[in-house]
Amino acid sequence: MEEKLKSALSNAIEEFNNKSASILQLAYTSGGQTAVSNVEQGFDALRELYFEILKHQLDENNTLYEQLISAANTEAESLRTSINLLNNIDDILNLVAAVTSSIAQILTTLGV
Amino acid sequence: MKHLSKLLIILLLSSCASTKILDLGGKVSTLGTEVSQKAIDVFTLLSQQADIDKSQQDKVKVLTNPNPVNMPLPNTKVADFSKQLASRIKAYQSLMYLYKIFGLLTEGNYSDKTKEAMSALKDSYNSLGELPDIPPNVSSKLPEVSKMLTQVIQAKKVHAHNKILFNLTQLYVSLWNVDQNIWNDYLDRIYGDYALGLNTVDEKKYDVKKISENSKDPYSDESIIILMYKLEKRDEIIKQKNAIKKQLSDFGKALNELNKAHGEISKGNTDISDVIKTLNSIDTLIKN
Repeated sequence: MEEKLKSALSNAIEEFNNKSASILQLAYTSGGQTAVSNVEQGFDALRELYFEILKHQLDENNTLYEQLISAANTEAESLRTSINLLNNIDDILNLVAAVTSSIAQILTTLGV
Repeated sequence: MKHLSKLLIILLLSSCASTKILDLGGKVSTLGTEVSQKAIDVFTLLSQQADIDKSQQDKVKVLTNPNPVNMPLPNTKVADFSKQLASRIKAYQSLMYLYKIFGLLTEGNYSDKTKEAMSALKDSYNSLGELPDIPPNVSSKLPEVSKMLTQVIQAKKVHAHNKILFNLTQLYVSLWNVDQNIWNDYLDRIYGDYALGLNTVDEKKYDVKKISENSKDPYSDESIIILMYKLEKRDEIIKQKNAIKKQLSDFGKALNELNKAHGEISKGNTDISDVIKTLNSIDTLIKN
């Protein structure tokens, strides 16, 4: 239905564009600048309606974009966890080294 | 000792493959950031079209008015798509942020840091006088082994996150494929209406002498000179529209290739030459 309306509007806009010079001349002859403005407003209204349909079609995906943002943020958190894991391997090794070094110092001090 | 050698050989082989995966992961992360940036550039370009359309329609109204002497200054309403563009820009900003973090996962300094930490641990252990020192042949290999182990873990993580990035970018591709058709309709409307509008401008409104001064065409008939000028203008407008459409199309292709690269890297047996080919294609598409 929406596509049909879009196509009909598109045809009407193109029809006007192709004959705009004669349509506007006819309007001017019959009613001066006011009539020209009225015809132009009618043409603008057709285009605005066409753009509204495009916006509506884009809006249909807006919820999915919101879900994508949420999914991307969740994956960013998951990546951070993976990175922390890699950092933890070094942290654990450094901690064990520090503890071992302390034990060595205690043993030296005690003269064991 | 025999088992240790076997373990070292396995680790060495795994580590070679892991290094390649980490390298590919790093490249795909850089290109992922660039593709996301390209998306934001494309949406910025689209956001400029509303003002271009307004200006073009105002011009057509002046040129097609039967008596412009007493016409009011035209002021066509701007078709505002900012709400639709904002949600899309935000989605690609999130994707760009994701690629920046993914880049951290592929960095080589984790394995180097592990190697350093293992050296420190080995030195600490050897300083314990009462315990036997680690044999020199084992001691010399320990930091390298730990480095390889970290690389293998890192590569496994890169595989796993590529699987997630594959699924995620597949959604971005699907949504873009739908959006692209709508944006193409939008551009056809803006530039098509302008081209047709200019085409209807009355011949009397053109200064033939001025057109001839700037033209190399050998025509003397006034109608032909004006028609040739109109054709030239129409071609310029179509060229401008097609250049924007190409940006949209190239971005879509790059996004699709990025998805393909994630799919290949997420496999256990990644075809490295295939991924490199895909990454080169992305590079060409986003730099066009």
